Amino acid sequence: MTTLTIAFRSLARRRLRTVLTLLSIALPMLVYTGARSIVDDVRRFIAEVDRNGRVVVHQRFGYTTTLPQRLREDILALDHRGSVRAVCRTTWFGGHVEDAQVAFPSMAVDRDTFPIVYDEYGFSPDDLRRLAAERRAAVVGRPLAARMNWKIGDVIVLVGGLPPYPRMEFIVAAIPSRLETSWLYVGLDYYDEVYREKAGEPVGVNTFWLKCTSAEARRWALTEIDRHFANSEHETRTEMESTFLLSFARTEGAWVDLIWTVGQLIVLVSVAAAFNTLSQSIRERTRDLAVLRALGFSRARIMGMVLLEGLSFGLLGGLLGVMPVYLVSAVVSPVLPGSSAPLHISGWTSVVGIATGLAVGALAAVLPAASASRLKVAAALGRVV
Amino acid sequence: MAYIELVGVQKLYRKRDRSISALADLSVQIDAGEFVAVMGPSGSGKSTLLNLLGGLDASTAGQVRVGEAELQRMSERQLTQWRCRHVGFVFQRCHLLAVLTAAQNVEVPLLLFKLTARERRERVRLALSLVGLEERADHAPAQLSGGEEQRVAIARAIVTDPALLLADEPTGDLDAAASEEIMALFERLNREFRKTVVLVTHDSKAAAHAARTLQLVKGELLRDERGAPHTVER
Repeated sequence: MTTLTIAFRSLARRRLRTVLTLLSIALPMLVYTGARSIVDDVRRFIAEVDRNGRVVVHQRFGYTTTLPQRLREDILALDHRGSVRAVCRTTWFGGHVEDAQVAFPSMAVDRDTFPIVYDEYGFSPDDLRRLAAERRAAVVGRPLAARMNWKIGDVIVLVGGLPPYPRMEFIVAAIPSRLETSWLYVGLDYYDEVYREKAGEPVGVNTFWLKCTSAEARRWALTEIDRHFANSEHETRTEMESTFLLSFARTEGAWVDLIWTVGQLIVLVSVAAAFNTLSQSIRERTRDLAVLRALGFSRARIMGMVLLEGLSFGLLGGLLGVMPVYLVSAVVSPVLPGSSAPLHISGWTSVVGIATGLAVGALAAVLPAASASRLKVAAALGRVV
Repeated sequence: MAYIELVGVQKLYRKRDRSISALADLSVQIDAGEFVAVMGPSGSGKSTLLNLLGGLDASTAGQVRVGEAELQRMSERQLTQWRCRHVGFVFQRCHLLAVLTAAQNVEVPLLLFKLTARERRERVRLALSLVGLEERADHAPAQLSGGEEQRVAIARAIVTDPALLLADEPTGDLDAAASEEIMALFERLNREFRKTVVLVTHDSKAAAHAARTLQLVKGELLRDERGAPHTVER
């Protein structure tokens, strides 16, 4: 037995209260690490995305207003200096599997340029061959393929998510090795053909993604394309990929900021809750601590014991708070519907989460520990005169 | 030279703007190996005396010496260290730690010594066998009778082999049979192991086990007598 045994046994004295106190630390840590992981994910994603050398062109007032498909040729015609390697048109398809309650995001893209513009997905030569050969080709993210048990060559039937809601048959042509999202891409030409048949007009394009050859080429695209289409019927706005994604992140950022602020407030509340519990626990054990002092336990040892209790609460609370985020990160996120950037908890965030738990425990324990160490033994034993 | 010496000891407690005298000019000497009972009505200063002898409280004036230690000159830290080596406490309500077993309760004071786990276990076993509770080592305090709990408390007090045992109403919560067992145990510790025992009690039957009785009234020594005590009205 050690002094630690006494401290830990004391924690087990009132189990329900101990569990509730642990939760009062763990839940704020959960919010804290969750919010931090989301913020980190967004920041990391944004920081890395411009390395792909892409710019995006969409309608001047927003990507939800579509542009005509022929703008791809117009853009390419502007490029006299070979600044653009390829242009990929993308538009929202929003398909779902008929009669199945499964949701995942899907886009219609140019089959010929999609693998060039998104070369980081790691298309194999076979993927490229099948994609070029089959107009009904579908490209499926690995987590989605795993979830739906889709393999290369499988025929899948999807119903488009926008009017006229075409029912279309696709063939899984590629499951690229580095496409670690639950997205699905279908051929724009095939979608356009079916759409024209049903709606009587060509499908519009939400975004044109340009793969530029250099940083200089991107600068050219960012200024020249919008200048060219200014005051035309189809005015454009050209942005860096990061800027475009930030417009999503900004919406996301508002609630992340809110969670972040609330998380910090909850951390303070958890300090107060843990402080209250520890103080009460110390008050209940005043005689026990006085006996220990009478038996020769020094003030420092008593203080250390109570601090240790607080730190144990904090450590366990921190671990319990970080663990669910870790589980979501490692297990749940990859199979979540529509998760383009799965929640990822970094080692640093885990450390910060656990350290914050420890700090909460330590802060909550400091005053009770100090008061326990200052205990007047004779008075506490209740036998003064 | 006496083992314990109190010279002109005074203890005042402050309550708001009032001073309450718990001990007034008390001078007493106790030899090593004596068994002394301290009696007196409530508020006579018995427990205060015990607290001063154990270094749990400091006198307002006067000198308290136990062995070589001049307690009034020692710091809080020195008193703590001295206490764990030289004094064993037995309280009225045992004050065992409810979350530990009997053996673990006895082991607690040994945590302050540089001993191996094996050495600690051996000492705990010896202490528990001395009080006749070796077979109850793994029981929690809640599973023991009042008398057994007090015997565990005595084992805890003697496990570090202190020269001085201070007991504050150790039979106060016990029935007659259990009280008799406990007092017999103190007598044995005094007689066989030469422990100096200072016992605070209201009970004249318990005090009869002591060789000497100090009668306190309002913080003053009324009588200091050898053998059976006089009863004093509470």
